[in-house]
Order: sequence, then structure tokens, then C-alpha cells
Amino acid sequence: MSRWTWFSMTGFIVVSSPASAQYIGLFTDATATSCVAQVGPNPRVDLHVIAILEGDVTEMTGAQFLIAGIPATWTPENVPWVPDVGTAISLGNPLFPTPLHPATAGVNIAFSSCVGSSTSRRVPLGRVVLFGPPTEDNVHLRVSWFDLVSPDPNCPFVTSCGIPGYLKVCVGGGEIVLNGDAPSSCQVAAAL
Amino acid sequence: MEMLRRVVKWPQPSEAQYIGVFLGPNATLCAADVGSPRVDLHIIAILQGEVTETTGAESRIVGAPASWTQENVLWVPDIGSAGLKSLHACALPTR
Repeated sequence: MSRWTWFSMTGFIVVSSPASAQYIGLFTDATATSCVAQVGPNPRVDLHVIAILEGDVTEMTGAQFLIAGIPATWTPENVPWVPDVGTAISLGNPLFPTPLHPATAGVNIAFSSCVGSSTSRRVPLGRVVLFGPPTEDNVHLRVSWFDLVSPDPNCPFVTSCGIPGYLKVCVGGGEIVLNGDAPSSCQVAAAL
Repeated sequence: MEMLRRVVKWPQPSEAQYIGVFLGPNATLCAADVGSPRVDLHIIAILQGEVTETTGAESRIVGAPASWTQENVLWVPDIGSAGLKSLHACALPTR
């Protein structure tokens, strides 16, 4: 990826309005069907972060978001972020601040080409791997947004393919419940 | 690319600087019994030669058992790295 490409992706880009049928979700399975889990005694639980592209945008080149609501007992050591093998760049950590932006958690993900299609509308972004961290009851993790560069929209977003390229498209956020009852929906509103 | 080959002079390797695989983050042990449920192996750039700072690295690890998969052996970029997986095979902490 060229310097210009990266600058274009993170810099001066028109922001598109959100589409409710597309969101970044948190799931207990790679097929994006379940968003509730009992994680107490299990030595390892994988939470899958997946972009659901069932709105106007069916392909994407990247995404930016954070995951809010983590217990204080979670650390980068007992809950590592594992970018999906299909990604090219993963800047930051969706759960914890990093030296890149120490004031906030958040991750910016990029692919080396357009991903997703009319037949494959679930794009894996990465996994949050729980290696037995202490986790209380009824933990609600939600996908939310943060500012990496101005003007980032106040919403989680994906970057679209086509012309103009790398258009930031607001998407909804996902919710997963740990050690509690399943939420009414795996999708929640995430924009201001 | 041919011009690049002619112009660029790659520095010769130095034995005092290398990319190592260690059992701990202090880069002292390189032997492990891995029967336990979880073992972290740390990939660390040791800069004790002429190069004392780095902006990135490229490497791969060979010799993995056939039973290792992307599901049971996870690559976790260091939290201080940018995670540029396609440009740098590894993004490393330095020592």
C-alpha cells in the first residue's frame, strides 16, 4: 500500500450516511449467528468481530471501531486482539489504548484489496480471544467509535471500494452479552 | 526493480543483532516445555550491533509442527507495533 493510498484512507474523505443493515458485530461463532456466551470456566473463548454488509455497501477496504464495556480485569495479556488473517494492516487495539493513540482504545483495519461481495456479506475483521480472564455476570460489550484522524465520523465505519475510493461509511455497532441473557438483537445503534 | 538492485546496498548482517524467539519478554530463554494449555513465545528484535533503532522488520518462522494451525497458534502483533502484516511479516518489540 502506497503512502498516498494510506493518506487517502485516513485523511480528507467525505463521510457517507449510515445504513442500518450494515454493522460491525461481535459473535461467538465465525458464521455470525450468536451474540451471547458463558465464559466463566472456559480456558479459551474466541469472540469474532465481523462486518455485516447487508446494506448499500457490499464491499469494503477497511474499518475503524472500538469495543466498549470490557471488565477492569481484562488486560492485553489475558485478552489479546488477533487481526484476521485476511487483513493487511491492524493499527491499534479495539479493547485497549496503545502507543499509537494512548488516550483511547480503538483499531483501524485495512485490507489490501476490496473484500466482501453480493454473495459473501460477512467480512471477518479479527478475534478477541479470552484466555480465562475474570469476567463478572452480565457483561455487555458494544462496538463503538473513536477519532483517529480528523475528520473521522462519530460512528464506527467501513471504507468503501469504487469511486470515490475509501469513502467512510458509518455502520451500526454490535453487542454481545457475556454471562447473561441474550440481547434482543446483535445489532445496536452506535453513532452519536 | 533492476535499478533498485543496482542502487541499494543492503547492510551486511551483524551477529550482534538478530530477531529471536524467546519464552519470555526479557529475551533470556529459548527453550520451553509446551504441554501446558497456553504458552507465549515472544518474537524480539535484539539490537546489540550497529543498528540500535528500528522502524520495522520482516521475517518468518520455520519449523512449525504440522499440527499447528492459525486456530491453535495465534500471531498477536505487539501492542507497540503498527501491525503492518503485508509490509512486515512481523512487527516486533525491541530490546
